[in-house]
Amino acid sequence: MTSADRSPIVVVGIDGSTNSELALRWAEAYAVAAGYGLRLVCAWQVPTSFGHPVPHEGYEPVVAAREVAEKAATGVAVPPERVETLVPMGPAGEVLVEVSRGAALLVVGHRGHTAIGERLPGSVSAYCVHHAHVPVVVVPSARPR
Amino acid sequence: MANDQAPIVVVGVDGSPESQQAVDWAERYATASGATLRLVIAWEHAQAYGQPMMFEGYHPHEEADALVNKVKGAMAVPADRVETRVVEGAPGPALVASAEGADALVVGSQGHGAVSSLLLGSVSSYCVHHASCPIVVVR
Repeated sequence: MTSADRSPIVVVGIDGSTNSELALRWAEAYAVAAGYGLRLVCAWQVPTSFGHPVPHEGYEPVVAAREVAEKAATGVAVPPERVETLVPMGPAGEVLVEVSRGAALLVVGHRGHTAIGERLPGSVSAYCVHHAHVPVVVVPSARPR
Repeated sequence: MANDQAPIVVVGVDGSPESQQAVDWAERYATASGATLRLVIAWEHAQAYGQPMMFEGYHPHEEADALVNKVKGAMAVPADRVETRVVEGAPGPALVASAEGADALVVGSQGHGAVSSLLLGSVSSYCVHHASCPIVVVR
């Protein structure tokens, strides 16, 4: 079902927001219908203030990202041997574009944590739509717009 | 994915190779999911200074209709699962309106006006901003 040079994998951007859960459900349904694998990706960065890392007692961003990604992966309908979770470091848009190279599809929410009341696409979905090397699906937020 | 009806997948058609890529993607998706396809083509009168230009032998509606039906005819999806719509108006709003209540809107990343320096064409960009259903930008 994919074109010859793409792997049968659906990549989905995860950030723990309600919107990213909608994206995950869409990606899951597509992967199940197509018999594809599912790759959940939660990007993270070291929090900084004016270029300096901000120390957070007891907070490891990579650990938080892994928790978000693994919680999202719990209970997906795709067989577990075809599900992977990744927590790359970097800005979310760039990470998703890179990680989805060679995949069949990249699925993102329209907006992430800033979804409430906003009509414009968020920066990550906009970045992905412009820069991805594969088809991109933008899943809208549930609120009427 | 949706309700108890077959899902509806709307695809923008303009005759460009990019739009054909979008149609091919939508066709594979419809085959896997049992969705009905809705092929949508928009046309506008050529205009000069706000006045429609009428030329001998210029029938944009008929041309659009012929084009979308040609695309439909070339598809492997059975004809009773493919609708066509010919809409007068700007393509972005026409596609978004045709996708009200649909399960997905599928567009190419560029169309006939492709400018190589742009990553995303104006119609696909419009659809990403305004569609109320999941939008697929195919490349």
